[in-house]
Formats: sequence, structure tokens, C-alpha cells
Amino acid sequence: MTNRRDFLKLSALAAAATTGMPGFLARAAAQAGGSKTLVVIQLSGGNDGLNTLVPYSNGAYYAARPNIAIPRKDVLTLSPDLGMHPALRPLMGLWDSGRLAWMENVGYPNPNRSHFASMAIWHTADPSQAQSDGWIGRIAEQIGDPFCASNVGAATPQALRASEFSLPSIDAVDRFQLKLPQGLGGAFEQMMGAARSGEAAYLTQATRQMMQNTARVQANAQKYRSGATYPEGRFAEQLRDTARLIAAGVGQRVLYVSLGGFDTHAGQRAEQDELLGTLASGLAAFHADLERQGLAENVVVMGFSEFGRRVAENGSAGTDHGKGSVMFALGRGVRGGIHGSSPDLEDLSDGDIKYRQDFRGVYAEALSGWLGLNAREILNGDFSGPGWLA
Amino acid sequence: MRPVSGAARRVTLALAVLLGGAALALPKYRLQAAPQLHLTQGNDLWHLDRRVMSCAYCHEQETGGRSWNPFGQAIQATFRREAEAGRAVKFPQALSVLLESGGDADGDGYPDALEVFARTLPGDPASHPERPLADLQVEFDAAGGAAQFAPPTPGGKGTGTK
Amino acid sequence: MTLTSLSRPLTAEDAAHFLRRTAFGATDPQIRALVGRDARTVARQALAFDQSAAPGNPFDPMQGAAPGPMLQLTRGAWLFEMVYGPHPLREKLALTWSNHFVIGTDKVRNAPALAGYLGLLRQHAATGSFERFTLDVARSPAMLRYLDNDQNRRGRPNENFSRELLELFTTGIGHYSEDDVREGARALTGWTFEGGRGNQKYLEESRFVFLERQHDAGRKTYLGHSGNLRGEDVVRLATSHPQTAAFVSRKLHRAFLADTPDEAAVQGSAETWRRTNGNVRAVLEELLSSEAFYASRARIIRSPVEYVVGALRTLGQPRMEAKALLNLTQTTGRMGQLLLQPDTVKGWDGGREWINDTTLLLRLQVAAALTLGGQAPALSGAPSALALTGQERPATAAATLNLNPRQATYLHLISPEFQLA
Repeated sequence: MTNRRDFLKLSALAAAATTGMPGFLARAAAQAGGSKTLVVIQLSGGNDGLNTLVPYSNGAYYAARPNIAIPRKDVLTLSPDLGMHPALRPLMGLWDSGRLAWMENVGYPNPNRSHFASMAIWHTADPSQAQSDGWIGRIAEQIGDPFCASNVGAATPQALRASEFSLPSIDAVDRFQLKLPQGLGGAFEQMMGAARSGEAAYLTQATRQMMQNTARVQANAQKYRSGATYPEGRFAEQLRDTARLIAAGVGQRVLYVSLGGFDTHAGQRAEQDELLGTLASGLAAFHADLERQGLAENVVVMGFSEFGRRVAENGSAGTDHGKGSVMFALGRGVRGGIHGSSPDLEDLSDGDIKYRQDFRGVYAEALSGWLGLNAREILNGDFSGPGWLA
Repeated sequence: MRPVSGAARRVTLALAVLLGGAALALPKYRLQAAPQLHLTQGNDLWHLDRRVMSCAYCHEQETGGRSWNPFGQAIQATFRREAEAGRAVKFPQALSVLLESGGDADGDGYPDALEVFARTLPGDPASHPERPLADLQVEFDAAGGAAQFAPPTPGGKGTGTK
Repeated sequence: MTLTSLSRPLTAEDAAHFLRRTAFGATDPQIRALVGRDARTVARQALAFDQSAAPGNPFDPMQGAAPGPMLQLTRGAWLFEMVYGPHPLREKLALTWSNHFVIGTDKVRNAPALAGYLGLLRQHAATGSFERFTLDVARSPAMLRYLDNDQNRRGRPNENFSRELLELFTTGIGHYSEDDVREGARALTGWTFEGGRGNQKYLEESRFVFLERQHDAGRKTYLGHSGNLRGEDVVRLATSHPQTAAFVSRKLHRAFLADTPDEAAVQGSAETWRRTNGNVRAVLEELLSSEAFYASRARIIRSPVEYVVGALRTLGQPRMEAKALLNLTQTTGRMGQLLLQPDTVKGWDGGREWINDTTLLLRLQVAAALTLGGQAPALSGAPSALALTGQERPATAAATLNLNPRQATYLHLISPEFQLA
């Protein structure tokens, strides 16, 4: 493994030191193989799992949340005990056709209630917080292609950082290109070619990598015609760009989209209801688009948040940072249903649910079962999952 | 990397300078109405500045909200009437139809279109032009009448005939 | 051990370096004016700013047509001050503090609250008392709202501010327990504000109030001290904690010395911090005249705002249309730094985190817009390589030999050298 990683680092540096499309990238694209794509949805801020997948038959839930519980009559019933938040109605079609999975009670040992620490744990897949590279960055290293995953958004999250490079962020596909003014090409090359060290060398390398990546995207992104009507808003736009990148066949195995604002310390109902509506309508359109493009067989969506929230509501009709929460997955490759057991709301840890499913087990199934990768190597251990893939 | 023509370069540069224009979270109707009513001249920041057009142009409160003044109510009634007549109109069309109709929403004796022309508030009877109606009418007609508040032409940058 | 002062008079590259770090960048005459001067005097004079503002600021947040426009005007006004203001170091420090005592305009959407917060950052930019600074920020409506302490009441605590006070504002993680967070929250109960709540009241003043009846007056134990602690006690105990000296000094080193600070130098500043009871002015004066400061070249990747302001100040503060400046605030947001809106309460990580394909692409596009584009400001002559790169004979010099002033400036602005400070 060490030798292999060293080889990859050298190759990436060699690629950065030359212009044009280096052989390394072409070879890596072939190596990337596989036609399956994983779309990761990050709900930033700590999505309240209990008001997402609602334990509507549980008196303890209503007792803990006199002001912000989802009334039983509003819940979209999935099982005799659980149902979805009403704002998730756009996903009911996927549920009914067995393409929506909920993973109950997901967390990790020694939960951290800091947004940043907990998000870093989910990004690095390392609850000890020792690693600084991300689990998707490690996918890129294992595949050997620094362009096999992208963030769709402004800033690359830690999950997409490899030890020696960051995977690209694509903010909007159409604007993702550099057009150098006429007559400056030679001077630009001369400027870039100057000997540098330290941060200056890093910026030179990053600029080279950016130019290769943008050229590759533009060369491939022309083919897509949307197959669904997306709702308005940034999140849906990013999902549409995600569909476009998949349809363009640019060889990305993982695409990453974030939706923020879930840190509902006060007035939770107003805030979370709207966000879940945005989430559900966007994902429903995304899936419909993939269906019409004939790509739905090849894409699964997996969603997470850095933590759930305290079981009891706080004094401001909101909830404070908690521990375990729910994850979701959708697509034709998913085994629909509710996986895992619901938390016992009368047996809490410091006011929080006690997680039963380690999130790395959910990742492991995506890695080995969906992407055909060595999950143990990427996650530094063996983790069993709930069996969410079909 | 690859050199591009002057025209393509201008497009790229314009994008860099104008980035974010589409992401502005602003009251949509206000952004449509202010240029259509020619209220924006001379103010580079008109799209942000309530001195150009505050919410009180159509609302009872300076900060907007759920209560509309007579002019705002007249716009709502215009939408309703147009729909009842089988015409699906967007906001700029509804605004134009209302101003063409010659109504005086706030009942201060000056038709809405003339108040817009004179830059007083068509929904507030306490706000009206100081000049005699007849003088104002002559100038208004010479400037093109209510047609000057026509909706922007599709795809064009102008705001109707002048 | 405290930091050693630079003993030599400033060279041209020293002067350019100082102004890149403390003034976002500078013109050739501004650089020349510091050559041969004494480092301590230069640092002291740069820190001797008052609260005067740039004349003719076209952005007035109180004229915002709605909360969103008000926020844009607030950002525009700040960018204008950074580009044209008389005290760039004060603004650089305010920017640094806005990344320490983080608030976000996603929650704070009130013009007077934002103005009050920014006023505190400027007033305390080089504060004589970090405790006083922290106390003022903790009681500002912007912070009370952003971290929910306005919802923190006896019997119904909200821990958000109490947690971040320790984790992000003072000691840093690892020097407190969950009990401290809980007990701190109890002590901070009753701190709230009145006025300016709700979307409709975005122009209304708001004020700090202490509601005694919502305060938990009981006994608490916080960072090893017990008693009937109040909010002021919690702020005092957290700011005077020995680890706070190192934690906040490290942030100042990241702002002024290097993206990856030298820990020995950080400890030098921390010692001065402890010796002066959190006198930030003293720490900064020592820092900005130290050998370590002048030895640390090209070790900070300029943030998006520093990139844009640096370009405009190096170009001699050309007049820009208000609309263009406003768009630049949006553009810095797309480059990863929207003023007053870091992604999280932890603030921008900075350094290499600023760099990805999209943000690099935008830097190149902004450089083109400022030098080659149809709306580019007037350019009387190209700034020298020293002003643009901090070096008298940079590696880029040969590449720009045959270019006209605009092209040469463009190429420098997109070079790694310009993007570093």
C-alpha cells in the first residue's frame, strides 16, 4: 500500500509538471473502470433524525418534544412505528417502488458534539481524528485517478482531500473553463515554468491541475439534455449539474453535493421543514432525470449529516447538538426499506440516542458493494453494514 | 490555455465582473418594476436602495409584509381580472395593463401612471405631484404616455417603447 | 521566550513584505516611504490607527430595500473601507477578528447589529484587553443571536455560545470538559437582547439586556473555579486561561506570519500575551517588528478578499463603480470568502483551503477583469515587480518583459507570487 501510494504521488506530481493531457490521466481513467456512480449528499449543520424519520407510535418522542414533534396525523406512514416528515412527500414514490432506504440509528464511538470535529470524523471516516485526508480522497488514491470524484459546489470538503491533492470542485459546469487572452500563452507558460518551492510550488501545481481538469470537463459535458424539471434553488441546480456530469460520462465515481442550514437550535419546525422539502423535491427530480436518461441503474445516492440532535427539545423550540442520526439512500441499486432498529428513547446517553450502526459500515457497503473497491483499505478496518444495497 | 477571439474574451471577462448577479436574493417584483417604471436612473445601486423604490410603493409598510396599499391591491386585482379573462400574465404585463387603464388607486386625483411619471407614490394619497394635472398630462403624453411603462421586450434589454 | 526584534533598517523587500501583510499590499511610493526605517517604529505607527473612515463610501446599509440588499450594502461598505480606507491594518485586523469571533449573516440579518459588531471589531482591532473585547462581543446582539445565547435561560439552557466560547474563542479544544460547557451555559443565562428581531425589523436598533429573572444564580464550577458565577466571570475565566494566550496568538500568527505557524514563535507571543494580560496591541507590535515576521516570506496564501483588495491597493486604489465593487464582494464569496458569512462558526480555515479548481479559475478571471477587461480601471503604469510580488527580482520577471503594462500586470496578478503574502 505504501509503495502504491508513493507511486501515485509521484505520478500526480509528474502529471502536474507537464502540460496537456498527461499519459497518467488517460491511464488512470481506464483504471477507474466501472460505470457505477455514488452521489453523496451532505446535510450540514446536524439534521434532526427524529423529525426526519419520525417514531410516531412512541409516546416518549412526543413527551420529549411538546412543541416541535411532528403530529401523528402529518406523518407519512412507512411502518407501524415509523414515518417520514411530511415535507419528504416527493420521495414517497421512491419508497413505494422500493428504491428508498433509511438507515436507523447511525453514529460512531465516543460521539463528538462539535460540528467541526464530528463533520471531520464523517469526512475522514476516522473517529480518532488522527487522519486528515478524506475517505473519498482515499478512493481517488486507490483508483489512481485524481479526477474520479468531484464536489459540486464552491469549496472542496475534507472528504475529497487526498494526502497530496484535493479533488476538484465544480461550481457550475458552464463556467468551468479558463480562456487565456490571445497572445499571452507563451508568457503564461514562461511564468508558470519558473522554479519555485513551498507554497508557490503548490500554487503552480494547483493551477496546472485546474487547467487539465477544466479542459476535460468541457470536452465531455456537451451531451446532456435534462430529463426532468428541477425545482428552483441552488441545491437542485447542483443536482442537475451532477446529473449532467454523470450523463457526460466524465468518469467520476463519486459526486458530492451539500445542503446546509440544519443547525436548528431555535424555531426548528420552520427551518427544517423547508430544508427537507428542498432535499426531497431536488432528489425526486434528480432520480426522475436519471431514469429518463437511462442512467438510474448506475447511480445510488447516499445521504448523511454530521450528527443528529438531542432527543428533548430545548427552551427555544429547537434542538441542540446530539449524537446518532439517520442516513438515507435511494436509487435502483438500493434495497428499499428501513434498516436497523430504532433508538430506545427511554434509554439515552446524556440526553442522546445510543447509536447501533457504525457509519463506516454504511460506507463499507457503498465502497465494496457499489463501487467495487477495497473498503478495508480505505476505511482502515472491517465494518459491517445494514445491507442497504439490493 | 487555448487563445480565444476578442469576442469570446469579452464574454469571459464580463462573467468575472458580473458574477453573482443571478444569486441576489431580492424582492423579485421590485427588481422588475423599478426599471420598467424608469425609476433607476442615476443610482448605480438602485437594486438595493429603498430610496429608489421602497416596499411602500405597493405595501403599507416600508419593510413590506402581508398588507398592501391601494396600488398593491390594484395590481392584485389586475392579475385576477386578467386571469378571469383567460389571459395568463406575468408581473411586468400586469403592471403595464394597470397603468394603461388610467386608474387612480389612491384616489388623490392623479392617475397612477402620472404619479409614476412624476415619481410620487401611486398607493399613498398623501403623496402626489404638486403641479396641475393638465400640465403634467401634456408632459406625460409627450414622453410617450403609459406606453413608456410597457414590459421589457423578450430578450431585449430595453424597457418598452419611448 | 518573547520574539526578537528585527535589528536592521527596512530594505525595499522588507517594506514591501510589511505592507503585503499589514496593508493588503501597496504602491511603489508607499513601499519606498518605509525603506530605511526602524521596524519597531513602523509597526507602532501602523497600529496607531483611529476610527476614521474612507470618505465617500457609496454603500449605506440603512438604505437597504430589504434584508438581503441590506446585507449586500454592508459587505460593499466594508470592501470599500478595505480598499480606500486610511487604515488598512485596522481593516485587516477586523477581517481577522471576524474569522475568530465568527458570526454569520445567515442568522444575523439586522443592519444596526451588524454595524455594531463591525464597530467592535474595529474599536478592538488592536485591543489593550482581550477580555474586554470578548465581553463586548459576547454581549453584542449579533453574537447573542448568532450563537443563540439570547435563547439561554434558567432551567432551559442553550449551550451553543458557551461551547464556542471555549472551543473557538478562547482555550481551544482539549482544555475544558463537557461540564465546563454546561456550567458556562448556566452562568450565561439571562444575557439576551431586545429590538430588531424578525425579518421586518432589519433596520431597527437592538440592545443587550440582562434579564435577572432568567439568570441561573446558583453555584457553578467552571474551569476549576466555583461560585455563583455570572456571565462576566465566565468570560474572565475563559479569556485569562493560560491556553487562551497560545490559542489566540496562533490565530494571529496564521493571519500575519504563516499559514502553518512556527510553534516556538507562537509560544513567544503567548508569553507576551500572558505577561500583558491579553494586551493584543503589545503582542501585535512585537510580532510585526520581529525577526520571525520579516523572515517569513511567501508563506501565506492570500484569501479571496485579500487577493481582491491587494490587487486594487497595489494598483493605486483606482476608482471603481459601486456596482463593480459590489460584484466583487459576491465574487469573493464564490471564491470561498463571503464577508461576514464564513461557512461555519469555526471560520475559514485559510491557507491551501482557499485553493481549488473553481476558486483558482475565479482568481484568474478577476485578474483579467481588473487589468484587461472592458470595465478595467484606468492604469497609469504597471506597478513594479516589487509591489506585485514582494521581490525585487522575482522568477516571473522574464515572462513579462515583452508585455504591455496591462498584460504584465495581469500575468503578475495570476502568478503564485502575487497570490502569496
